Amino acid sequence: MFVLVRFLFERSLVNAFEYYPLHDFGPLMKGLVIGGLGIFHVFLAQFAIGGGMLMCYFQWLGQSGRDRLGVMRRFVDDYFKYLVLISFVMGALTGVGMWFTSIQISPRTIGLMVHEFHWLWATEWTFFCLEVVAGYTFFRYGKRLPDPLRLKLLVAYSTAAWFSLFWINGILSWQLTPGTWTESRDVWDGFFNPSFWPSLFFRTIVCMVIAALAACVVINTMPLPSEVRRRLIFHASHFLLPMVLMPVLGVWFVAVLPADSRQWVLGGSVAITLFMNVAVGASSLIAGYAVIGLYWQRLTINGATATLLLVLAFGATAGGEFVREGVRKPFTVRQTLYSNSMTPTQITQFRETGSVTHDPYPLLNADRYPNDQVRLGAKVFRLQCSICHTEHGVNGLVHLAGTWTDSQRRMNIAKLQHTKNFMPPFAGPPAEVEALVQWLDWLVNHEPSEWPVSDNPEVRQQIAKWLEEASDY
Amino acid sequence: MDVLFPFGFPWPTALYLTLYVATLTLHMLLMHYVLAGSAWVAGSSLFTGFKSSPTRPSKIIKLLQDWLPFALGGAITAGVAPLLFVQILYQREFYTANLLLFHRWMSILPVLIVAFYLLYLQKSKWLEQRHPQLRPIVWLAIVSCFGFVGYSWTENHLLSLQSQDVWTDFFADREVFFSTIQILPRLSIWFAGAFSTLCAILAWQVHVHRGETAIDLREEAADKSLAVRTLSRVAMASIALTLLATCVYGTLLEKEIVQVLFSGLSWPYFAFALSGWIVQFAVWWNLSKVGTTSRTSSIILTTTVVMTAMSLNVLREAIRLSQVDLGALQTQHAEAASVGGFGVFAFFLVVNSLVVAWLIRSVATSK
Repeated sequence: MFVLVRFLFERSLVNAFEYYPLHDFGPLMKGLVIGGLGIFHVFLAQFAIGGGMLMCYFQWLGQSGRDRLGVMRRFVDDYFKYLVLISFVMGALTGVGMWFTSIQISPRTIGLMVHEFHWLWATEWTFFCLEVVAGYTFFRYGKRLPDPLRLKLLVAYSTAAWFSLFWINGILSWQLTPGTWTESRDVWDGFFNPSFWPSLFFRTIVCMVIAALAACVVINTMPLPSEVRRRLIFHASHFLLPMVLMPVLGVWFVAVLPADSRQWVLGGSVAITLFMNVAVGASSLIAGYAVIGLYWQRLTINGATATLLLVLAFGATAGGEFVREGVRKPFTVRQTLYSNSMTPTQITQFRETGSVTHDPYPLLNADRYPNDQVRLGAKVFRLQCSICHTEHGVNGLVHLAGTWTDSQRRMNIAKLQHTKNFMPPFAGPPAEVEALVQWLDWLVNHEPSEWPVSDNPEVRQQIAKWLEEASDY
Repeated sequence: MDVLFPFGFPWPTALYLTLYVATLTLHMLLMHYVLAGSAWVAGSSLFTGFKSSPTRPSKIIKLLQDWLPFALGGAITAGVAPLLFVQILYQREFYTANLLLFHRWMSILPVLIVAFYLLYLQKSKWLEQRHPQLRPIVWLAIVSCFGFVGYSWTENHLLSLQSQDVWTDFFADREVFFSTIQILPRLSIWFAGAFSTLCAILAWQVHVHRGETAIDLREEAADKSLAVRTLSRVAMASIALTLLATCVYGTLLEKEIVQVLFSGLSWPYFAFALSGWIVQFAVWWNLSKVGTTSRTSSIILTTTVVMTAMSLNVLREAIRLSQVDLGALQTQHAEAASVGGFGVFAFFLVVNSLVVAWLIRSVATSK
């Protein structure tokens, strides 16, 4: 039954392979564009979620007789202004921006995600609506409302905000660990996947940390006596304490990763291990300062230090998101869609028909190339490689493969998933491998106006043999 | 197709079309408030902003200045759902148009961010303390931003309706703008129509708004009467101009598309839209005479505005459906509908709507 479901699913994807007009981002790697915006959006969204929880806590402190200094209401109102101005504006628009950017970078990937999870995204939207109504109502009328109603609004706001995390977390973690979904194609198998819970708990703590650090910055902008400031910072530091659970959740997350993904984190990839260490190091510094300094020794914190810690938290978020994106390689959806948005079945098909044979979009600068073979290579690069590589810029192929011999290039490209196991298999016949090799050689040789066509049958046969040896995907 | 929209389609297509039209209508009402509201304040500030003596802002202007940031936040949030359903309904077409317009399309995001912050800026004390002539400049910038976003959406939509050959040429020629004779009349319909929606919403606001600082009740009543008469005039002009723009647009459509509009698929919606405008015009005519709104008049206006907006959105879809490969799309819709999760969406749509209503009621009765 599962085999049949998978077969039908893949067949529908093969039939639905759409060619889209792909743009060149120059020296900028496409993955960096979506990654950069993603990190910024995640940070703002997590601030909005944690901010709601923090305000609930302060409002509760204020109305339950624990506010001896009588400043909690005022702080909540001031903090909410920042939340509205930063999160409601930038957070909302960068969220929409993530969709638009995903379309620009990898339309087939976002298309599959929308196809599989549109009802859950629609569910998330109902929580957005609740979040915006509760948030703006509090922003507009909160000062005039009695405490119990203020708390109700804040609880509604923060619950809705947290549920938006709940839904999107399931979709993002599915990309990395789809679990039994790969067999059953059941939406709930995909949603409640192996990394769903550790990721959800971890992100919830991150939300609390960002909110608390932002609170420390806001408290320092308020003209308050030092005793009041110290008290507010002490209460905010309570939201930093769950950081002590982060190592456990981090280990849980790494443990549920597929073995090959786990090895990237544990030294298999220098870049990913490095970013992992940046995230862990930054988080440890924040946790140490928070638990020992702010909570245990009840130190205060000035605006500059609070801002520095917030920047560190941003760095940790960036590191963590880079790791999450990186360990997915060579997939955008594990075992389903490779990072160049092709399925295993499509790769088999393209090895027969050619990957760009039916691409209706011409090269934008076709006259730049000396012959049709190099043009074909440029088109293959655009479809299969340009999502992660550039010509000369970030992750540029000239830097990575410029020193290889032609023979090396032929074998390494034909057996791409063996050359580097975070690369997808090559999706084309020998002619496309050779075209890509010639295009690369032409680039390495500074783009001369004349370039010979390579049409040696023995070379083609050798490439075909290598492709055959690398058909285990 | 001669069966009334959306009943003649297979149920998955009908479901997604219905959800798309319903959520787009919600987005459109808020978007109309933002677009027409900012244009109104910009026009008014241009008129009064360069006078040497400061003028007291009218009730309508005060309401708009106060509520526009929330309306924009609401419009963006409401826009997420139709943005989702359009990706199910017309994925290839929508993605291709997005990609073809590339950075020109993506620029709507920073433009919206700028507009959002300018809306908060115009409420700030900082701007109040600056030179009075700065205010109309800020408002012109705001309305320009929204105009650009509206233009970009219309352009994107029309580009998505083109054939593969047009897309290939557009890409090969490195075009940045998609020019077609339909853009201006379509924009005119939306822009002119936005004012009648705005007036209907403002009628509610004028009706329930008591003024936070007004002590002189006679002044408050005079303000209200003036506001209602102004709204009536603007709304009637808006309806007339929308009808005119619709007629102009109709003359530009191909014969086959006009036939679709008058087929069993969509002519009842054409009739709904037209009757909605007629009723609205009649209500506004009456309000311009009496100078005051009532709950009944506001309910009639709201109902007919929603009816007209929804009907126009159905007509918009009828035009699109006549230009796309419906057979291929219906297969994709059926595949999408086989994915689970609809029950959860329906459940939380109801629950969260009830919570929203409860919160609003709690705050309204508490005040």
